[in-house]
Amino acid sequence: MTIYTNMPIELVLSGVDQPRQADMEIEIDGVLMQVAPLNATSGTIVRLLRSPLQAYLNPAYAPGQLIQYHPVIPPRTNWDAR
Amino acid sequence: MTYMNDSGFSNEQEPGQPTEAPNTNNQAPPAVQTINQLGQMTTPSGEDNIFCMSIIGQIEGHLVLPPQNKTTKYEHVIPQIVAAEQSRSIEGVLIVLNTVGGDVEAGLAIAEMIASLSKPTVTVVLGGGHSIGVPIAVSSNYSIIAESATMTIHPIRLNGLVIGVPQTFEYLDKMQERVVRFVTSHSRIKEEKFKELMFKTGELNRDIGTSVVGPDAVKYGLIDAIGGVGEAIRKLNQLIEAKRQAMSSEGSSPIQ
Repeated sequence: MTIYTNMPIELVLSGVDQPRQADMEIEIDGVLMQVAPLNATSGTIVRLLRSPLQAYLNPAYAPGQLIQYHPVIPPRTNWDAR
Repeated sequence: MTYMNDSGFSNEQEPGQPTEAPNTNNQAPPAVQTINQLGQMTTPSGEDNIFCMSIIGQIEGHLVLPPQNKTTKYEHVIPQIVAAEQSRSIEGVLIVLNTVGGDVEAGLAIAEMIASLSKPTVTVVLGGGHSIGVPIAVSSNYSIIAESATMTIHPIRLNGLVIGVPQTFEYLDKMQERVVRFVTSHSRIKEEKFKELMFKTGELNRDIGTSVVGPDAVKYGLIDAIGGVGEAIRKLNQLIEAKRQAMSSEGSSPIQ
C-alpha cells in the first residue's frame, strides 16, 4: 500500500490508530450498506456492500449521504398470555 | 401570446398541472405559464445521457483513512464506471477532478477503468489534480484543465517500514514506472519531460517535484486544453455525436 499524495503523510494518517465507532449494516430497497451512526436516528453511508449495479449511479446512495432510521423495540411482554 | 401557435409548441398540459389556468395563458407551455404566474421556472431537466463523476479529496484504496480526510472511495467509483458502461441511456462520462492524490493502486485502477470505457470520456481538472490524480486526469479521451488549476508531479515516497537495501529502491522505481508509463501512454507528454518535472529540484514542493499550472500542463502536452465545465460538456457532446455518426455509418446496432 503506497499513498502518493502531495499532502504531508503525517497529516493524512493522523488518528489512524484512534478507536472508531463501529459501523452498522442496513438494507434499504435491496441495497445493503455500511452506515456510520451519527446519533440514534441517523447515520452516513460509508459504502455499499451489496446492491444492484444501477444503485451506484443513484446519488442518494453515494458515500457520505445521510440515512434516517428509527429504532424498533420489540414487545417484551405478551399481555394476553398473562 | 400568438407565437405559441406558430412555434409548434404542444398545447397539452403535463399531468398534475391545473386544468384551469387563472388567466389566459392556458394555451402556453407549462414552463411559460410558470414564468408568467410566478416569475420563475423550474430548471428543465437536462438530458441524462451524460454521467458526471467527481473525484475529490484523497483517493481511498486499501486503507480506510482517518475521518479528517475527504475521500473518494474506489470501491464505489469502480462499480459506477461499470454501471455507466453498461447503462443504455448514458452515452458519455464527465469526470471532474479536484484531488490531492492517494492510494497508487486505487488511483491507477480508476484511471485504467476510465481509459478502457467504450463511451466518450472527458476529464476536467478544477483546483488541483495532484500526484495520483495526474494519471486519472489523462485517462480520458479529452482532458481539460481550469486556468488556475495545478497538478503536482513529484516522486512516490514509501510509507511505513522501509528496509534499507538496494531492492527497496528498485521496488520504488517500479512503482514510479507504472505511473510514468500510464501518463506518457495516455497523453502527449514525453517520458523525459515528465521525469524532469518529477525530479526537479528548487521548487517549493516539500523537496522535489513541480507544480504545473493550467497553461503549462497544456504546453507540456499533459492536458489537451484550458477550459471549464462549458468546454467539457461541448467536447463531450461532440465526441458523443461523432460516435453516433460512426456507428450509423458502420450500420452497426447497439448490442442487445
